Amino acid sequence: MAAQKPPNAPSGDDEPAPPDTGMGMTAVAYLFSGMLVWGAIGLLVDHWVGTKGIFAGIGAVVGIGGGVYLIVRRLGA
Amino acid sequence: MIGQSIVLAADVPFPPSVEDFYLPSILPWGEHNSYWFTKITALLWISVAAIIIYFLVSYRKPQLVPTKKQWIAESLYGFVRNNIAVDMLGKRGINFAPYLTTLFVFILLMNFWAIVPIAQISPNSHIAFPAILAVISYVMFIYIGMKHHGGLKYFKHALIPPAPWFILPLLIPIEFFSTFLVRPFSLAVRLFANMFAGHMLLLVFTLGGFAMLNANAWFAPFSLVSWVMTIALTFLEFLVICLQAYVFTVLTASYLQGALADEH
Amino acid sequence: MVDVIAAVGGSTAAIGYGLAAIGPGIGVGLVFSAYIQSTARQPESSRLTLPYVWIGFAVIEALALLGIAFGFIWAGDF
Repeated sequence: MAAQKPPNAPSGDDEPAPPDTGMGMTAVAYLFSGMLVWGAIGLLVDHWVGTKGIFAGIGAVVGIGGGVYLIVRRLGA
Repeated sequence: MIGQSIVLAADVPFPPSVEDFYLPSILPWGEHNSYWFTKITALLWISVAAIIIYFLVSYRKPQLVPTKKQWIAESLYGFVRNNIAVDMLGKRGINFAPYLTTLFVFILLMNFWAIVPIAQISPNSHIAFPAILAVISYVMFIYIGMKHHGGLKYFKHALIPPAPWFILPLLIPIEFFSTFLVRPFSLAVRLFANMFAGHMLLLVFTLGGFAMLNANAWFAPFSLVSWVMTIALTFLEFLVICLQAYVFTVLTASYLQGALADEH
Repeated sequence: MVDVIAAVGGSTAAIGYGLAAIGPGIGVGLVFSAYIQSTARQPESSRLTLPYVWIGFAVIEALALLGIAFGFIWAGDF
């Protein structure tokens, strides 16, 4: 316990440390918007073609895949 | 107002509804087609006046050893500057600290009316106030981004993620939706919904106490429990008030951070 | 014809989503518990591990969100 270092000094000196407050919201927002955008486009395609939700399902999967990819690129890396 | 509530206690409308947020007009008293000055308006004016006068008075003669007034004002500003602005935006954060402090103090005071005994309703429980605040933050982070990166380059930077070209058509709509549509909406709705739900919760427990008392005299102990719950929930509400003001400010700062980010 | 003794009314999609949410729930819990543990053991590593937390969180949470989406899209169609 005594050997434990004190937490780093409040950021600002070493690096412009962005705290993780916004990251969770960003991640969830990406997932939701990916799903909603491409799901909605898929729904439109469904109406146009006349199917019963197949394209909306595909759209949701594709959109959420895009959302995950965006999170990996923007928050991961 | 107290006399009115005792009279009303005879027949309280129990399940509180959205109608309870539309308070009667004050200036043309009891008027039904002119709602230009209600309690909400009064609270808004009082908040704005209180903030302006307080900060002017406490900085009128700044002293090296601060007086109590000056100390509170300075620590409010210092909190937002150090813990939000500089923490998230680095050196440039100092430029945004005044706006963020104003936002924080304004939202905090506006929310705080929800638990002040006579006022008991927060103007932020009407979507108009959070919506305008969110629009200000929204316009500001886009403007700052355009100023920092220059015009269309900002949109290129914001919309085009580092990815191979063949998935870009898939990603750009997602980026557009999450950056330019979801952000202002979630900013406004989060604050509004928290204040709305808080007011509704307090109403349910207060009016529920009266409703139980009226329904059956044997329910009196339960209505007492209900009122004790109201007091406990008021403290919870205080927590929510501070948290939502903080969250709104932090999210605004984090959007600014995203607009100012250099590469990614 | 079999006599129906008990029937489930409403949308069975809700039951399906309830079952589908178990896995992602456990998964998200594991991700954050691992992050908290690693940060508690080695506070300096928090910045290093955070990106992986969000990647893992995204991949797992995607399953739960797809559960919601499919519940709405195919509610009672098939």
